[in-house]
Amino acid sequence: MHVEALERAGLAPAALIDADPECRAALRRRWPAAVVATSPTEVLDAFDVAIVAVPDLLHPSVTIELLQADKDVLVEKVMAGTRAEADAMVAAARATGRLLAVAHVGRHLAVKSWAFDQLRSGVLGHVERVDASQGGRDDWTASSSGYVDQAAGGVIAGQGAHALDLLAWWFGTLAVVSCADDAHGGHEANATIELVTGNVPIHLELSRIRSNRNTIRVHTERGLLEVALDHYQPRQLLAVPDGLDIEPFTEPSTEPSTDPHTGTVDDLAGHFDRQLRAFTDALDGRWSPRLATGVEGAAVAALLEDCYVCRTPAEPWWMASATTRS
Amino acid sequence: MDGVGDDPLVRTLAVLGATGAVGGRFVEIVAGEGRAPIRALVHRWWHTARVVRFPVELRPSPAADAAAWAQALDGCGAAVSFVDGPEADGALAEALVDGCARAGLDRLVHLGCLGSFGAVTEGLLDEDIDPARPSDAVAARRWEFERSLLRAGASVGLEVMVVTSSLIYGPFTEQGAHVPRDQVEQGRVALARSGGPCHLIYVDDVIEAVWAAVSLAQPVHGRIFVSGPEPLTWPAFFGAFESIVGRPGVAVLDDGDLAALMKVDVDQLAELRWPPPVTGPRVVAAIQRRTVRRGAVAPERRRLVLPAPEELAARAARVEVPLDRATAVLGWKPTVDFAEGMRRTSAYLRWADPRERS
Repeated sequence: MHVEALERAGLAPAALIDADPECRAALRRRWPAAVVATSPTEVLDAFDVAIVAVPDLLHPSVTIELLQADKDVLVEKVMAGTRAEADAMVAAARATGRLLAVAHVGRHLAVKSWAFDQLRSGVLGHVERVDASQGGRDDWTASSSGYVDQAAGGVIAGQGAHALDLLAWWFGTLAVVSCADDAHGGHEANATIELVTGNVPIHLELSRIRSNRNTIRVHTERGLLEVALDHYQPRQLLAVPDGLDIEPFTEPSTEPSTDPHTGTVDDLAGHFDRQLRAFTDALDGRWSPRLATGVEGAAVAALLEDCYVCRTPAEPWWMASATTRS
Repeated sequence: MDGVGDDPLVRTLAVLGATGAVGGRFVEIVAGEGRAPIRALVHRWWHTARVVRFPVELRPSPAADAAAWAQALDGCGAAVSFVDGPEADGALAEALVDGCARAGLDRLVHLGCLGSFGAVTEGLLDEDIDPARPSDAVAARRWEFERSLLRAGASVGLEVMVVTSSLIYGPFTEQGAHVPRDQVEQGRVALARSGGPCHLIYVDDVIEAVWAAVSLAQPVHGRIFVSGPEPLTWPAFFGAFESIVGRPGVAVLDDGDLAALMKVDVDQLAELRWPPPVTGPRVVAAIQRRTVRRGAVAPERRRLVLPAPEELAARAARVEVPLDRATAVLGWKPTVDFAEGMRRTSAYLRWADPRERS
């Protein structure tokens, strides 16, 4: 997704790095002008800026290595599996003076920036409670088992990182109250997280195996604001209080169309295009609120760690075997 | 017997098709209860969310290459296959069995289904007969895959058992949960009055049968039928989804009437409601007059959901499924009755569907 976004932006990757020989061969065929290597250290002279999309657990070591080699870095979410690793990444960026951004691509759905502006403007009054529900059958294609065995976790670290980033972006500092999930020594597929921001309670449902609502409902003093959490929804704005002087939101066309502001289509590829543009703008000194900073990414990593520390087991009653073992 | 092979703590069980509804349930129960270490051979890493909740070993599933299968299965004591889909053909079956034999596995257990047993439409089924190829293309492919497994097993000296199951219902199943629920939601499912019995089995009973087959101490080979405690009728099966949807979802029609409706033009079908209005297409109106005389229809008019031709044929089959061999050889009997199975299925569907949780 990242390299294709580079291509759409008219940028050619200078170096492509992958540990898998078959993947390297495929990269050479598709981008013959790029240097292809197994490790960044082999080709440090070939590039100035890096996009890190290796499996989760490798994010900290690879990112810190690149920052210390004076590279600016956009690292995939989840930034790190622990707050200590995330803090080390932020510290490395500060020490080297390099730019560190986190690819929380979910921020780039158009309605989220719009809702962020409405919430910040105060037109909706104070927020009373928040209810977010995200998930469906996992359809993110992955070419190796690293997607599972080098992941920072299950649905909490996967889809949950998007939701937690959005909540922290919109509402500021969050604290985990409780976390219940269905892992049995592996990665959880379903989770329920209770959070709080100030005195506002936040309920978050996550799943990789059932269809969740995929919206966030913000119950405010003036009424309900409900927006989509992903680009699969036919409408991005689902509910907004009546009678308020709110900047209108224009739903993207269901036909392939171009966002006049960014020149990108409002789908997943378009989100990567917007993210890349925000990142290149940041490299030029113009940081968009849509681009997550290293500090913001570290805040998400800390929340994830808190979830995993306080997790309790939970699953529906019908999951238990209906049979008696013979 | 508690584990796979001689030592359940050492002998890993390979599971093929673990990302499907039934394979996933097998992993949940076997790994969840610590019965055996699991190695799941998968095509799609991103569909493993349900099984990686447990400490299972994941490896890529090979194609039709015996050497690759031998490598993937190395160190396992036995293999369980829930493989289905276009790739499950004769070549894959032979490569899989050969790979099992080369890797030194004792046994391969495959989950088959009644529809792929063969072209038998009435009477008591018999595990020892070798019925003709079914006419339906999907059933024929499965039939070929199962035959190839059994033939190849006999050829290389590997114990191969095909556990032939009736319709599996329960959480995550397509034909046993999501599809009937969706059809009842769409309208009234049209069923023939003289339809045959509905043989079905709750998914956890299937898992126990497969587990019994894979953990059996004595040598086994061949086919074993499994089904639920007792057959149902098709109207009773679809009718069980009415309470989930909250609307009537069954229309029982005379066979000839249903056959006539199956020939109605597609455009007319889209407009078809049941019970039909007094006036309307000639065929429908005639049926309606007879049906009303018998007073056999519920009042709410809903779209009529007609079966596909292969579904119509399958529901007309009047077969009996013997469980004698399953009991004698595996020591297995179904334990989940339809009421309990549907209680769980209903709870699952409500959990899985956001419309129920707004």
